[in-house]
Amino acid sequence: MEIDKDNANPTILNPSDLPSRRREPLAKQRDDGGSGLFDHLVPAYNYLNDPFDGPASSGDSDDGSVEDIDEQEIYDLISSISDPEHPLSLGSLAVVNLPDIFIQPPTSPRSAISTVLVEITPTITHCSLATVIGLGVRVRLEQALPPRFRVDVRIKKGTHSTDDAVNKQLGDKERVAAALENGTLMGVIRKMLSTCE
Amino acid sequence: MAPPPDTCAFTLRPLATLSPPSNSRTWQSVPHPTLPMVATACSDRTVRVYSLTSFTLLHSITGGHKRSVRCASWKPHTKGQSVLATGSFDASAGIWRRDERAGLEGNDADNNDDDDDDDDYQFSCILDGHESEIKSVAWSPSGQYLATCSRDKSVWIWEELEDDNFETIAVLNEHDGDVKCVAWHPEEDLLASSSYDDTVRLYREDSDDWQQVANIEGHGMTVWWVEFEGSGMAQRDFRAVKEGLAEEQKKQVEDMERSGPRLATCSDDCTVRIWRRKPKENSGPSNNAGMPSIIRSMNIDEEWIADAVLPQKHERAIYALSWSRKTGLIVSSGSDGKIIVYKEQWKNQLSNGVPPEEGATQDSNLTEWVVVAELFSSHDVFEVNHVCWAPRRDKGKRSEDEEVILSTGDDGEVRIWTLDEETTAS
Amino acid sequence: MSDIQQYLLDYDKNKRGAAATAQQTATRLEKRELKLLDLVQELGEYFNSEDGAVRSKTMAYLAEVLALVPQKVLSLQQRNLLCDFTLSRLEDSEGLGSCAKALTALEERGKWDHERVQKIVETLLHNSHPLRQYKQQSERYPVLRFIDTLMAKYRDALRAMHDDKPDFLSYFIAYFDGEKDPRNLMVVFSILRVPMIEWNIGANAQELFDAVFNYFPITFRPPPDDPYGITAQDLKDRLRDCISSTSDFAPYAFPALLDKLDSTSMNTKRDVLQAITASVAEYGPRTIALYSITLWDALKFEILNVQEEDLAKDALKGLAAIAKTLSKGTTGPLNSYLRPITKECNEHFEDAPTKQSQASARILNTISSISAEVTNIILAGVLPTIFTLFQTAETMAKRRGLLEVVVPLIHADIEVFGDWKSVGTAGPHPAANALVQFKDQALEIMSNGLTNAPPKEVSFRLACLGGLLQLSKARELLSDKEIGNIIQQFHAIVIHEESHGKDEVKDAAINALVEIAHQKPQVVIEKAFPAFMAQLPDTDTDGQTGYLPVLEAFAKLGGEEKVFSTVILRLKNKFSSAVQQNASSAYVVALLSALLYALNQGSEQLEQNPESSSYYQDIVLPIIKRTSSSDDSRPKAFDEESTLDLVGRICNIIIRPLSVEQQNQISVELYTLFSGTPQNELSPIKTDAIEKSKTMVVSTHLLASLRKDAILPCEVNLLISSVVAFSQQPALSLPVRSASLRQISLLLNKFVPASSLKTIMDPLLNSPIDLFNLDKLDPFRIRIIFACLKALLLRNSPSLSTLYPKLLAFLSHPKYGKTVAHGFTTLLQPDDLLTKANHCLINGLHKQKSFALLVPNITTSFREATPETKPNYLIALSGVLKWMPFDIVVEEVGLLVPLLLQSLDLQGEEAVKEAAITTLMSILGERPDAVKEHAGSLISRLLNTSTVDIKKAGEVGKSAEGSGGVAAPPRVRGLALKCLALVPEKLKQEVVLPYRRQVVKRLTGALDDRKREVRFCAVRCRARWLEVDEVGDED
Repeated sequence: MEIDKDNANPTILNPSDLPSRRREPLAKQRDDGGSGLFDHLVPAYNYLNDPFDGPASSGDSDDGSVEDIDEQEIYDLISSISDPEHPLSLGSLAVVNLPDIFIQPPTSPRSAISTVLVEITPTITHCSLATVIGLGVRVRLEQALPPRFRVDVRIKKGTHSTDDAVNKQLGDKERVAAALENGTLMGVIRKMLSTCE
Repeated sequence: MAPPPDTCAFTLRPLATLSPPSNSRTWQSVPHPTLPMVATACSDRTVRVYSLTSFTLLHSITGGHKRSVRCASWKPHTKGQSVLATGSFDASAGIWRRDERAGLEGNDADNNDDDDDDDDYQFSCILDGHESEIKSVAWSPSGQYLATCSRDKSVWIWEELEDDNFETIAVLNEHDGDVKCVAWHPEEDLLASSSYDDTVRLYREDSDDWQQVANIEGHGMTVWWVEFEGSGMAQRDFRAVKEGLAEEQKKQVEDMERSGPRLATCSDDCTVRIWRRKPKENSGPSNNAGMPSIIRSMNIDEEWIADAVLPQKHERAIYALSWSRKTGLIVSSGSDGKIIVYKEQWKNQLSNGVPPEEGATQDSNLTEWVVVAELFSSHDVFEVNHVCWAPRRDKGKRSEDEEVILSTGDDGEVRIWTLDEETTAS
Repeated sequence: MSDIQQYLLDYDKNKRGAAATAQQTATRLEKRELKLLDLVQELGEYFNSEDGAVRSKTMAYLAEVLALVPQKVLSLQQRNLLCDFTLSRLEDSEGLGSCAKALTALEERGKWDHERVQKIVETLLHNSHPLRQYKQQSERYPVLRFIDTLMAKYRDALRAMHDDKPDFLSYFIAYFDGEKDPRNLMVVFSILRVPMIEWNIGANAQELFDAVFNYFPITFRPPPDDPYGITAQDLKDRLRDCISSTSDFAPYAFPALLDKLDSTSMNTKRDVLQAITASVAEYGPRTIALYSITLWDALKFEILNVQEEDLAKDALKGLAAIAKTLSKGTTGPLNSYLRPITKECNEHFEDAPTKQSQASARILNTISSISAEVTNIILAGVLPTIFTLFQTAETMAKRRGLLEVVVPLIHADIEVFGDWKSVGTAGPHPAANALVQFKDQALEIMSNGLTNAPPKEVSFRLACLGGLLQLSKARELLSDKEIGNIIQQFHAIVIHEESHGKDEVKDAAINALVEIAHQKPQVVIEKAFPAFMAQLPDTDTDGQTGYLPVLEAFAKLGGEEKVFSTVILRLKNKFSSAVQQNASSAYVVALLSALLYALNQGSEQLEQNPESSSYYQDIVLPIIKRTSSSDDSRPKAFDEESTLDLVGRICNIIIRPLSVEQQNQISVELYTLFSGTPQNELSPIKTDAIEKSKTMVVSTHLLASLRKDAILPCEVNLLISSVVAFSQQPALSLPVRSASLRQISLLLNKFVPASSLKTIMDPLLNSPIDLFNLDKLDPFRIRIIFACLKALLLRNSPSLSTLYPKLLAFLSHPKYGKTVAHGFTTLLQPDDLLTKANHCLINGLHKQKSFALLVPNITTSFREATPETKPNYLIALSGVLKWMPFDIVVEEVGLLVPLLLQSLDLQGEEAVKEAAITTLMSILGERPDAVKEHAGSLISRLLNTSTVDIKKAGEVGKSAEGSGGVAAPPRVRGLALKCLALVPEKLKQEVVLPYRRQVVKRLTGALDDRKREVRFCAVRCRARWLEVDEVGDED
């Protein structure tokens, strides 16, 4: 029934093993080593904070600190894309991997353009859907990253029989743009991205 | 890698942004051959026609295409009307007409903006045939032929028998990849096409049968744009100054004359290259005139040789270039958002500007191309899909043949730049 | 005209008339005015009419009459005569339906003997074939019903026919052949099911099976106005019942079904799987034994390569059903069924973790929870292989994959054999549990895995941990010593392990301890507690702070009732010794927090048996004494209001369930706090030493814990006035002031009966205090006003209707209007002191009431308000709406939306914006139409609120000039984006489409937000908008 699939029985990683940011807000390593279990003993709305002294700023006020877009963030954006032929995420299939994501800062002070390079690893070397997957990744990033990023998606060297051809396609802005206007193809992509949050 | 600015002889200064801009990606902007207006191909399936005097929107051409309008081309030598050809991702090309006799609006576009609904562009016919996205359209200088090319790897040549009756006179399937761009030779019925297969090919008619006459290889990646040099540039560019030329220099000018207009290409490989036709023995500067057609030309093949590789300033794909018909300057733009202007000049013997490129016949070449202007982030952080020269038409124009640069970006904006002489010595 | 003529006349156009005529005839028969014979003779001519229609109508007439005559009217031989007559009519090609009706009527009027029944059936089967004769369902239905009745009432008779005449059944079956009408089919199925189940059908089995299976898979969409309300499901069910009715069908059913399983239609597959499961359940072990393997080979595909999740589930059900049926029989077949399964699964495990290894695990679990026997066979079948694979596995991933197979198996084993607390499905005395001979190996593998694997192998360690937990739960599997070791491993992780990643392992370890504590409290107390205690120093003077995680874990353990009291006890002791050895305030606070946390978790227990608990003596008294004492039994930590708040909460939770009598011991010491100072020296609250005044925080919690009828230290009005006075001292710290204000609320809400409310309020509203006097207005009094109102609105006091207007009037106050406005949010804000648990008066409808009294009023005054004061109304409004359940808000959405939108333009009022957006979101959710016409301004405002980019702000938002210049805080930016994401979801395509491009473009700004959280929202939001696509450009 599913013999037509390129790889009917892929290896699956466990979500817990996928790289991830520590869960917010516990993310900030507490100096006391605690997990903040007791932080909520006193309800958020208790009489001790008094609304009359201006609106109570509940700790998140905009400290100027900037959280830059980093490889992990890119990974989180694309790892949840689901594979076109399995109901599984590209992350859990190890198609996208954190070490294969590279962010290039602007090459000159006069330029504002950074580049993101993502190398994807198809589940098997002849996976005919490599292009679709790559397209999905590129589309996702073009939709989710600010325009100052240039997105390059490539098949990781030596993991795919026709990687050069695929890379050239994925690199061709015009083709990608046209693909996005192709309803049928976009249908597939939409389905893949529908699992992204 | 950015050179110290003082080597640049010019600066690009923003003159205007055509308004209102489109809300989505714009692909290409083509100036009207005679009237002061420009047609911009937009991904929102429309073409926007702006005035080059007021920089405002004159017409929004809608309703013809089902997908992105990728490219456009004005038909030359049309009397009393404007004829625009458009190519779209919906695999069709469209022909649009508008009667211009009603007060040549270009001259006073400002008070003409409002009444564009009653005298709007009419969708007069559709050219079907390509199997997938059309990427470029180009009218031949005479206006007799229209060339289109597509992702289906083919180049089509159409001939307009009478109004709106187009006949396909050639389907050229030489490329083995998307055909990205087509361009006509300014003097001969010679067509050039560039492609995803990294090559540039030339075609001409041989006893009413169009054939490939040259296949130019040299770019390492997709060739995004191809464009011929203007006609008779020797009178305008650096060659204009005849006195005090060394013998070999004189000879080279002569050589170039015999080759005729050169070809410029730019590519994903981040280079801009110039190609020159190897003159045929005992054939005039341009061999289309002489030949009596009864004698089948034993060999119509042409040899085009690498003439120059321009200094590499771009860090990502170069999508477009434009070769000024007035000054011989070349301007290029691409994914990195830069706009670069290059100038050709005689090498001064001491420093030879560009290091010899691989295999190219550099050494013999006595001229060199230098970067005279480099502009970063011309469209903020966005890619620049197209750039071209256009005569300056607004009130502020400083001389009769002053030119401006039009750049078209992913941000949906078309920006206009003036080229200002730097006071600093180079 | 004779009845029959009348009847024939009316038959077509006037059914009622016809019925009436029939009734009339019936009555005449009954009254003996008409003789049956005459009637029949009279009908004679019409029965002989050339016109078939007339003949059938005549039969209808007769049938109808017979159905109407009372039982006694017709004698036995009359009935027999009529019966024979009717049967004779069967030879006529007309009026079969009516014949059936007539026969039914006759049968109802007197039971028949076998011979007659058989004769009737004979004649029916021979002289008629409804389907060939009648297109009309209504003609066939009565016949089927009649046969159904016979089947029901005269089984033996019909069965006898079958036994005597070998060919009977086949033409009986043939009789219904080709029926298509759903209503009739329902009957046919029920008729045929009788022979299927009750008759010995050997020879005819296939015939009978085909007769029903021809309809499989049955599909039927009832007409919109189906009078009979028969659903496709009804048909499916009856058909399935037929298929599964007898094991004689097995040889035909299974091949046929499995053949249909290859169908591409998901529905067909679904029907097949359900039919198989049903059949397996019915056919019995002996039969299933023959097909079990074939079925396994077919069903497994649905699970190993899932197409539709629910198909996989049905397939699993099927496999389980087989095991269930087989375990009713002898062991042999069961074994030979399970052998190939375990074999194949073992093969899949070799390349775990894969889709199929996971599927295999699924299969084994589902099956093995069937019975003790099955579990044992499977465990014995796979565990050895898995263990060897585990030993030879080269990757962690593989080991993890294998464990993820084992753990659920143990879980299934527990289902069957039970855990320490409860017996399993196998009952109290099950067969020996095969898990026993594997436990040592399992223990070893998992223990080593958990302790030795590097911390980054999260999932692997989680698997080990989960496994160990299951093992420790399995009934009578491990010795307390072994469980002890597991516990040791767990608390070692909790206590000593470095925090890593999301700390999933640590969390899991803690929760595991809690679970074990539920199963084996004693062991946990003996093993884990000492370890925890050892980690908790008596003092932290050496500055080490490693205790916190331990403390957290320990407090969590308190959640398990079995160990609750011990946890509390140990924490209490730690606290005392910490104080004695004057540990740092941080440590003292930490211990108090832990104590409070544990108490909170066990609060139900406290509620249930307050008397029994000694906590009042052991915890409350000593700790209160500490707060009020002046010697060094009072830790310096108690100088902090926040610490005193913890103390207060600890006391509150213990005191509030106590009886009034016990509470009174405290209430008298409400302010003196057992300090020995006599009450009367504080009058009642000393307003001098601000230092001492901090204990007000504790007093507030004590007051909160008291029941209404507890005796206060002094008259309530005196108390109120003194607290009011107290709360106005400028020098008070913010918490102490708020605490005293809360006391006002508590007093007014709990201790003033409705009767005396007016008198008590009087001094507040009029002289001396005169709260609402515009000239005396100041921040302190404003606070008092809201404190009072809060008390009153919770009990829905009638006074509100006069007080609210006065309050609203203040919104236009030039100086304090804004302060007042900000106060509104306190009115309905959830409050942890004014609660039912604290014996407060909480009227269920108080929010509705306040809404009704406030919101319309605000919206109207807003329109009249001056530009300067307009914002105050918006602030007040959002303050109220913030806490209002949406089903109340919904009443006024029309009015509110414009105001909410304007609140988004307020400068620097982030809390207000936040509230406004939240409300807008619920409106979008529940009443999108209310927002529709505001879509444009909503979208532009949200964009402005969400983008920091000043350059772009106002570009889209014509209406929102200037706003967006100042960036809202990240939380609000994010919220705005969430709301914006709702817009395309909730509003119609044509409404949002015009904005799509500009929104998508503007949002690129938010994609570059400084804060990750905001960017995350922006990405989601933009995705939603990108989905809003220009329609139908596809060819």
